[in-house]
Amino acid sequence: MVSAEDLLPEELPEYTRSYVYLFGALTLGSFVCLVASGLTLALFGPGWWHVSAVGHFVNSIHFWSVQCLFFFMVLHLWAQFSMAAWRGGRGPTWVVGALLFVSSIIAAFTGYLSQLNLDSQWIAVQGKDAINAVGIGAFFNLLNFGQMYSIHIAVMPLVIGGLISVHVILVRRRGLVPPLADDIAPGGDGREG
Amino acid sequence: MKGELASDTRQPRMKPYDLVREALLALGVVAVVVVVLATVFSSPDEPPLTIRAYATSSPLSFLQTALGDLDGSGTIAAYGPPYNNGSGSVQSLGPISPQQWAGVRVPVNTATDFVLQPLGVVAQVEPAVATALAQFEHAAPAQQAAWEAAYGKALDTAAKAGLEAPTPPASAGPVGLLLPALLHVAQVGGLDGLLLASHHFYVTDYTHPLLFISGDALGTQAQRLHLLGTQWGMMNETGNYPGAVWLWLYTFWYQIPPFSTSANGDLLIMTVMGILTAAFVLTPWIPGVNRLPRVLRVYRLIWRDWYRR
Amino acid sequence: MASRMVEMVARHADGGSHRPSPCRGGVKGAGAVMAGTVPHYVQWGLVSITVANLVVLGLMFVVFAAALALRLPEHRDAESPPQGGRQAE
Repeated sequence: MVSAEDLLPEELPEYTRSYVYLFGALTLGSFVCLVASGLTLALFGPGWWHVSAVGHFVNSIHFWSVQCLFFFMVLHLWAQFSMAAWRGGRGPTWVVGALLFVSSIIAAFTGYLSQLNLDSQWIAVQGKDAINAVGIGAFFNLLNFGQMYSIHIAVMPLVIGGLISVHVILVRRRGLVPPLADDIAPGGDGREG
Repeated sequence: MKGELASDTRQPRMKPYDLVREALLALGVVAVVVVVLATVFSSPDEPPLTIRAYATSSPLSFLQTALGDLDGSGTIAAYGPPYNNGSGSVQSLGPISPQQWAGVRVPVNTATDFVLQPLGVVAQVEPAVATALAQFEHAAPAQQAAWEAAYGKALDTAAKAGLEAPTPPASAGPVGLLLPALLHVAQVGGLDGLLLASHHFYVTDYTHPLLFISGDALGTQAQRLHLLGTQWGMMNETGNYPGAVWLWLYTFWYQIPPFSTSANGDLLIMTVMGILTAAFVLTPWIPGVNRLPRVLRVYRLIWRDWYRR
Repeated sequence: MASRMVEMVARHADGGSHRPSPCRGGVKGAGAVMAGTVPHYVQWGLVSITVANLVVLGLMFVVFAAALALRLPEHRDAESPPQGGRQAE
């Protein structure tokens, strides 16, 4: 599907020398920090961080990793949109990226619900109305801590990990999108076909 | 792809690149940032509200909530699916009502689950409660409603007078003993466990206790902490921490009519966001939107060295 | 529409902790200031945003602008000549 050379290129086109090209890697780095801190939290159970100073620190790592994830993901999105990075058959890459954004929101949502504090209580009782209104309130019961926690630590990491793998493979398979043609013919608008 | 923005077809020079090094560098940068932020700012952890704390700090509000659960006038009592067959919180867009189609799947009878069953436990050890409970449960529905209404009037009077609890009138019958008994149980911490455990040993589903405090109890805390929907609350975190900034658009709709004023506001917003999310996913194929990059011309900054060549 | 005004609203009501926690703080003081208090927020017409969120939002624009403006450091390695590659559609 993808050769080793494509997966780990040793050279890239000169036009990729911009800091905006780092946002994807920074998003991925944030995800790694999330998984590492999340695994530690899972290892000691959902109540650990409320009774242990070390646990609270690990939770703080997890909390700020979430902020970093969305921070860099949105910048990555702004960059890719600015470059119309879906050109040249890269539409599916965009779709997977968009699904990653939505999945991350679901993961964050279930994470907020798993905190076992006032924030979780409020988000649960507030969010239930919207979820009930679209008819999935029984299937996805925000008030059911066990369900929300399980989805957060098992289901969503697998979904997101899988989507990231597909996303990265698609990027490496197609290569980075070339620049937009900047010279616009008179009367035209830079469009093919 | 036909209609697609044209790409520059000049062949680029290639520059050496080490993907592993870049990935590790990115990981290192984020790890350092995250550790520094965690060390300096920690993370929020506002303690959860217990029914005990609610009953102790706001006894009148507790009694009003309990009465609403008992007489069926409360928000959860009259909610509708998935909890019961009420209609107080059922949302629809014309004939479209996924909430109703889904039906009652998480049955909650507030009178039984939140009031009578917990009192049934108390009745095992408190003869006065046992007597009052038996009297209430054996009475005709019209009689029960009359007692509830009388107690409700007493609560309103106490509220206007700024009292913490009413003196139950005789016309309130057994309700005048049962609800204060429930308040007392709550104030000593018994109701938290009774609402959660209810016949099971291991419980990870907090539906009952959360629904019980979903009204005034949590709402008051939320307003104080700027977490209400009309305060852009979905985006906010407790304390001075950043919240879910990425929810800005979803939160925005709750600030403006018709979404902020309609009883179907949640369904309206979920529909709008569903459409916008689909458009976001399908951006490459949406005419007009897929041409915005050329209009915005940010690409000229990203590739400025290339264009200068 | 009322005239637009930016006003800082800072209230320092204590959240009324019901459970002693060993874990508030981080660096002494900073965590305590941030947790358990009513947030500082900015009201601008219809928009009400906490200062923390505003900082994050502002940083996003700053970092994106910086990424556009700054140049990556150049490598000293010899460049490869132009090659046919996967850039073509």
